[in-house]
Order: sequence, then structure tokens, then C-alpha cells
Amino acid sequence: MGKTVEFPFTAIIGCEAAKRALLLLAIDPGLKGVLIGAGPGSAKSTLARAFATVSSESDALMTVPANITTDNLIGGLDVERTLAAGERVYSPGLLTRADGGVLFVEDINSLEAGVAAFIASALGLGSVKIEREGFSSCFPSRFLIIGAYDPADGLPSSALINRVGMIVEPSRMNSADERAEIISRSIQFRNDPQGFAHAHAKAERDLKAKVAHARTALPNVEMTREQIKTLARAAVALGIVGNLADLFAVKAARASAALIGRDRVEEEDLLLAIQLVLIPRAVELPQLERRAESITPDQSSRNNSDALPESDERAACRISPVEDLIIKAVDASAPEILFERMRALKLEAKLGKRGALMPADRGRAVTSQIKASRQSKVALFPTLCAAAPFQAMRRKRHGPITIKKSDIRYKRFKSSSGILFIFAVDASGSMAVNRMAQAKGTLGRVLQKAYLYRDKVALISFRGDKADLLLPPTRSIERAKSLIDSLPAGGGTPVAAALVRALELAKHARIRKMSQVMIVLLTDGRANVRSRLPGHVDRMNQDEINEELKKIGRTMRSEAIESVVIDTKSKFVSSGEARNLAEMLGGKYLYLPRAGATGIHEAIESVASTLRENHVV
Amino acid sequence: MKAKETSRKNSSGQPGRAVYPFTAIVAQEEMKLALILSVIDPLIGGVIIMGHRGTGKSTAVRAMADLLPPIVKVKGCFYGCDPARPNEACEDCAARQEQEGRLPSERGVVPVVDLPLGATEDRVCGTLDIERALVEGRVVFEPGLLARANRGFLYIDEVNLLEDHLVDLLLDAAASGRNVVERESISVSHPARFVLIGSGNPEEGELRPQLLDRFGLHTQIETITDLDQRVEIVERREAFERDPKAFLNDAKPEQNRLRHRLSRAKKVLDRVELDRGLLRRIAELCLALEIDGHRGELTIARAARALAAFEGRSGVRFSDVKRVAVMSLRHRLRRDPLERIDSGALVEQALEEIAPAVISPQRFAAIK
Repeated sequence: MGKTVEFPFTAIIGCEAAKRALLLLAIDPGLKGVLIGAGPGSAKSTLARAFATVSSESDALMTVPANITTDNLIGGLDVERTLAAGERVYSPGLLTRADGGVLFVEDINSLEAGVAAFIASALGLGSVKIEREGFSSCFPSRFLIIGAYDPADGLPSSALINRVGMIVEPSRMNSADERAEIISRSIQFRNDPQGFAHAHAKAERDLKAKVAHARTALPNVEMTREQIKTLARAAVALGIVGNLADLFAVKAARASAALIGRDRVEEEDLLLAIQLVLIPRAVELPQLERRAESITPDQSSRNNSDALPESDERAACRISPVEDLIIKAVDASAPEILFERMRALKLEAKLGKRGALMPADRGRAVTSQIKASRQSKVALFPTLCAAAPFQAMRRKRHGPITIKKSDIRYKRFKSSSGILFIFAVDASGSMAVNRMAQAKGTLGRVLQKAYLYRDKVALISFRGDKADLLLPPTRSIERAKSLIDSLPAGGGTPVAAALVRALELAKHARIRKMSQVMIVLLTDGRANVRSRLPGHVDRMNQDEINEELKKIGRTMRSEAIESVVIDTKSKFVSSGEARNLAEMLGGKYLYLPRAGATGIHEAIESVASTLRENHVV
Repeated sequence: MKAKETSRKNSSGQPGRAVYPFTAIVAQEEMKLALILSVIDPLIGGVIIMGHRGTGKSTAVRAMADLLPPIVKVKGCFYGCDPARPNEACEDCAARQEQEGRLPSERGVVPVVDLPLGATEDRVCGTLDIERALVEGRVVFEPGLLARANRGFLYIDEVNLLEDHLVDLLLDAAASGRNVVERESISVSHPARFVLIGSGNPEEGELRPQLLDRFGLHTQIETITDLDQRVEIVERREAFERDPKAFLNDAKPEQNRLRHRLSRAKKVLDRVELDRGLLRRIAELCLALEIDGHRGELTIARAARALAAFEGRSGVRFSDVKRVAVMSLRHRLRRDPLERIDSGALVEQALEEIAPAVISPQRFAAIK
């Protein structure tokens, strides 16, 4: 038998929301796809493969590896065939081959930013435009996408969240009985796929017929203006950015009615649409959030002031049935996960998405040059261009195509990776507000020049017994602007915690190909809290704290992370603690008690300039 | 060196796909006005549209392409040279004109060229036609996107993510109106006058000031929160997807009206008057906002004239200046990058200050 047997869709236990979403997708391909957030081993790929059997899209399910490159995605020059044929041959990328099919991406949240942007753009346009390596084409690329991700590793890129219709949150835990049944079915299927499929053949046929029927009935499903308005109102109440979500919600509601076999949309369809389309994009949840906020009193003052300039529209919907629908939809999903994700989305809405959208990776600067240096990579297309005009001449003497050493062009990579400046600001003590202002001013100045060097900034504040990441690495002034203004001050000085946090950021930046990291520590005091014991303020053992700092310092040196300690203490003490700190970290020490942002910027830029010079590309 | 004629059928939009009509776009008035003005007067310098995802930026740009009045081109010229402007012609046309005198012309469409994600340098500025080089051993220049965009529009979505070396190329071409290629045994210079249209999401990074400065107008676009408008968006979009033909048919009268207005405005543009007093006021506005250089004044003056032409008037009024000032100056203010006040609000404030004295009731009645 040529075709492998897939696990039947109807035999999958649990994952109700995901199954429902996939059925809606099969009914209305205009929903574009489903993003499924679930932990490992939760049948995501089984679901995706089974989807192909119930949908009437072509049965081609293409699996996209998370580490796919843009070349593989949009294609490029087929060098071998180009040379053999003497004419340009394009080898199509995955996006063109996917036309009319279904893409499955496991770990969709770890796609490279540029790759995610391509997929999102193709989803939006239904085509791929290619202007590269001598090719100028536009291919149709209409496909559905099923993406799976483990929410513990972060969300998919916002470009994808924007373009993919439905998002399924992790569902409740399966019961023991269900688990047993899952295992048993899995074993049955493994032992005898054909037999297992046969046993479920009728259910599969029925489902397929139901979907096909719903698909033809879809255009006749009625939906009132008021119902569309309800969904729009819910989207506004949830603070959703952009106007695409409404469109997806309306489609989902219609498809839901069609699936049930009704010719008009009813409340349960709206509910499902809110649950699958709107809630996962929510930035705020007015009432429920209030309940959650009461647990964290130190934030309530800020959030209250946020709540003030609400539009009338939103105030009005407080008491409307929309609220009711939202609450019902929330109840249907797992609230802890919802809050966790909302916090992330909210941070994104305020500060923007961390790193994932950054253009650095897109900047594979591929101009070519004749000169080779160490580790040069040959640029094929320019090399062929250089060799091509001589072929008629050379052919007489040699084989079909001759490339001489002088033809070879090398890729020139422009140093697109700048420096990541991590500002770690001491928020303990009375001068914290000043330091914060200095740091903000300085990072503003760094960002003003960021387009030049491709630098990024991040901001960590530390006080009490912990360090908080206030601004994830960014190049956007827009995001830095929305930095939280007031910040609680006082308490201990957990320098180590801040540095550990900074190290984590540095490591992430390395993964994202940002090789240079500089930590700028603004403090006036000494480290007096250990990082290890959260909740335990351990001020006593200074030796242990120092030992810990030295250890961090060693790590920083071995990772080649530059650090600058800026002492803001107003009275200069030559044996100051900040100087000792700098020594322990192997960083530079600068005494700038009353320096403005300009002064600090100049100081760190002089350190940074040596970094830039030493960085050989 | 001859330029190779390649297929141009995909120069705008998607193959065989209907384009959503411009007149059916709900709200977003500032963006629509900015696009309209830059169609009327290409010298304004194009538009940059910044806003969140899913707010219809690229829909609007693609819709604009559908409104452009036809132009006259030299027959068979890849660059679409203007027969009436021999001094801007490409080498081929210049040589032909020398020999043949008047060149044959034809009506053609204004190109709207997409600079897609991942475009490589060779496709942007053009390069050697490798096929002919391999087969015939001849060096033939294959024009790129800049050539195709000549006399038209170049659209860059996610313009703030554009690679640096491509930005450099664009800046050079935009400044000189020519594209100079010196690579892979090619040495070509050809006309590349195009209007830049860019769009992007401000949360994804800043634009280089030099590039930002190249855009005449800067508009911001927000998520629509008005419920009726949102419902309207959904209903129109659904109607369009369900039956594009019928939708386009319904939109036709209004589309044609707008097309007509645009080509009329283009015709009368040169005759629209802008008196010295008003020019002075524009200069005062830019002075009050401490704007470097004169591009601010020039842009306002051009945009205000285009607006007057669009409204069918022969003279510019202060109200025209008011309507175009924010989009002309938003990106030209020198300011603290972390300033929270919107640049647009600052421009409006300055406008209030330089506003003309209160109009007397008699005059007001006369205007009405």
C-alpha cells in the first residue's frame, strides 16, 4: 500500500477545542489556520495529520521544520540545472509548493523572524512575490496552516498571530480514564493501522460528509448586523489591535453554525468565535482582570490610572450581554493559562514583542565582492554572472561551463549585529528615581543612533530581593517610550540577581545572532542581597555575596560580555563599593555622580566604540 | 547595451486577483488623503504609513494602484520614458530620438512595483541577464525593480525592516532620479524616478532619518474602535470575498468619479495659486516648529496645492494648509526621542498659534 494510514480524526480523545477549530477551518478555509498551544506529547501532530483526512483540501500535509531558512521557504536559483540547461531554472520554495495544501509547523514559535514574516505575508496575499537572484515572479500560494507550540517557550510571532484565524489554548488535563483509553487506542493503531482505521471508517466517513455538507451550506448561513456588532464590541472590549480579528470571528461563527447544521448564527456560535478567535488575542479582560489584580496591590494604582481614559464604548459594554459572553468564553478555557498568556500579550502591547520581530536576521546582507577573506562564503549567483559572459569563449577549450578563480564572488556580510546594551538600574535607596531618569535618557540616546549600528537596549531594575525586566531587548523608540514611568524604590540591593537576569538576556541575544553585549550597571551602593534565595533577604553574609559576584564576573569574562559600572554616589569614596564591584566583574568603572544622559551616553559609547572596532566580521 | 524586455504582467497586484476598491475602504481618512495627494502630485515625495498590523495599510496602497490615470510612454521602451521629456529619457530613447526624431508613443499604465520581503540587490537595481550571457556570451543588462518603477510608484511594506544596503540603493536613486549599476561586467545608468510608498509597524523599529526624510507625507493609522465602522468593514470585506465581480461593479460609479477627479486635479495642478501671504504663514509654521531645511515648507505647499486641485479650486486656502500640515511635518520635528506627546499634536498646536485672525462674520457669510 502506497499510502500510509493516518490515525483517524474521530478516534482522537480530548483536545476538544482544537478539534472544533480544525473542523471550522475545514469548513471555511478563509480562517487560514489554527495555532495550537499545548505541551509536548499532546497529539498536536496527530491532529494535524488527521485534519488532512477530513478536510477537502488536498491531502498534502507539508511539515515545515522550525529551522527552515528563507531560501527553502521561497526558493532560489537551481544552480545545477541552470548550468546544465544554460537557462535560469528556479527551484521553487516550500511556499509555492504548498499552494492548495496544508502546512504543519511544529514549534511555530521558534521560527526565525524573517521566516514567520514570509509565511504571514503569503497568508495575507495568497501569493508569494519573489525578487531575488535574477528572478522576478509571483506565484500563487494559498494554503492553510496548522501551527503547534509549547506555550512554555513563548508565543508565535505577532505577524502570525495576526494572520492565522484561530488560536487554541491548552485544554484541561485528561482524566485517568481518558489517558488509559488514549494509550490503548495508540497501541491498537500501532499494532494494526489498517484494522484500526477500518473500525473507525464509518465515523470518519460521516464526519467528512458532515464537513462537506457544512461547506456547501456555509454561504447561506445568516448572521445579523447586531451579531457582527456583538463580536466587534467584544474585540474592542478585549483591547485587540487591528481589525482583522473581527473578520475571523465572523467567519468562525458562521462556520460553527454550518457545522451544527443551522442556517443562522446563534449565541453558541458567537461564544465559540469569541473563544477561538478573540479571547486568545485579548490584551485586557476588564472585569476578570480586576479580580486578579486585587492579589497584587502594588500594581493597582498604576492600573487604575490606565483604566481612566476608557472610551464610552467600553464603559457601556461593561453591563452589556457581551461581557456575559466573554465571561462564558473565558470559563470554557483554563483561566490560569489565560492570565499567563494575557500578561505576556499585555507586555507586548505595551512594550512590543520581545526580539522575535527584530529585523536583524533578515539582514543577511548579500552583496557580493571579489575579495575573499577568512571563512568567506561563495556567492553563487554573482559568481555565475561573472563567469557567464566568458562561456562562449571558454567553451571551445573546456567543458560545458568553466568557472575560473577570478569569477568567484564571495558573500559580503554587513555587520548587521550591533551591541545589546543592557541597563541594570539600582532601584534601591532614595536616589533610584534619578538613576532611572538617567538610564531612560541614556537609552533614548542609544536608540536614536540604533539604526546606524543596529544596537538594541534592554532595561532591568533591581531592588528588594529581585530584578525585573522592564524593557526586553528592543530597537524601537516607540517601545522604550511606553516604559513604565513610576517605579517602586527602596529595599535591598540585589546586584547579583540583576546580573543573572542580564546574563540570561545576553545568552538569548547570542541565539538571535547578536554577538556583542554590554551591561551598564547604574548603582551607588553595594550588593547586599544574594540572588539564590528569592524571598530570603540575606544581608548578613557579605563574603558569600562577593563570592557569588566573582563567579558571575568569571562567567561574564568567559562569555566576553563587556560591563561598565556607573557609580552615582554623590560623595566620592575612593574605596567605594561600586569600584570593587567593577573589579569583581572585570568591568570598567566610571564615576559619574551627576552626569546627565548625554554624559553617560558619551561615556558608554567610548567603551562601545572599542567593541565595534574589535568586532571583525 | 540593450535592456531586455521581460514580462511585466505581474508588476502590480496578484495574478488574476481582484483588487479591493479604494472607495470602499472604511474611515482612515488621513491615509486616504495622503495617497490621493501623492497621486495628484508625485513631486510631494510619496507617503509613509505607520500603524498596527491588520489596519489595512497595504490594502489601501494596492487599491490606489487601481485609480491611477494612464500615461503616455515611448512605445517599446522598458523604462516607459515620457516622449514629452527627452532630457529624462533612457540611453536607448535618447539615441533613437537623435536618429528618428519623434518617437512613437502609446498609452500605458502607471507602474506600481512591490519591493517584496527578501528581495536581493541584483533584482532591485538590475543585473546581467545570465541566461543570454551563458548561451550567447553577450552582456545584456536585465533591468530590476527600480527600472520597472520609473515614472510610477515603488511600494515597500514593512519598510522599517528593509535591509540597509537596499535602503542605500533607494536613497541614491531617489535623490538623483537615476539608477547607476556598476557590477558583474555591467555598466548602466538609467532613469529611475519613482514615488516611494512605505508602510510599517512602529513597534518593529525605527526608520533611518535619511529614509524617513525622503517621504513627503507621514500618516499614522490606528485600530478603528467605532463599532459601526467595524461592522461596516466586516460586511464589505465579506461581500467582496463572496463575489468580487459584483462588489467591483457596485463600486464602479464611485471609483470612476474618483478617477475622474484625480485626472482633473492632475491637469489643473499647475494652475493652482498659492499666494505669498499663505506661503509666509507656512514658513512661520515650520519656523515655530524649528524644522531644519526647507523640505517641510515645500511639502506643505505642494500638498496644499494638490488638495485645492482635488477639491476643484483654483487657489489654496489656509484650511488646505491645516489639513495637510500634520502629515507633512509629523516626521520632521526635531525632538527628544522619548517624548510622549505625539508629533501630530505638536504640529496642530503650532497651527493654532499661527492661525489667521478670526474671520469677520460678513466675510464668513461671503465664503459660505
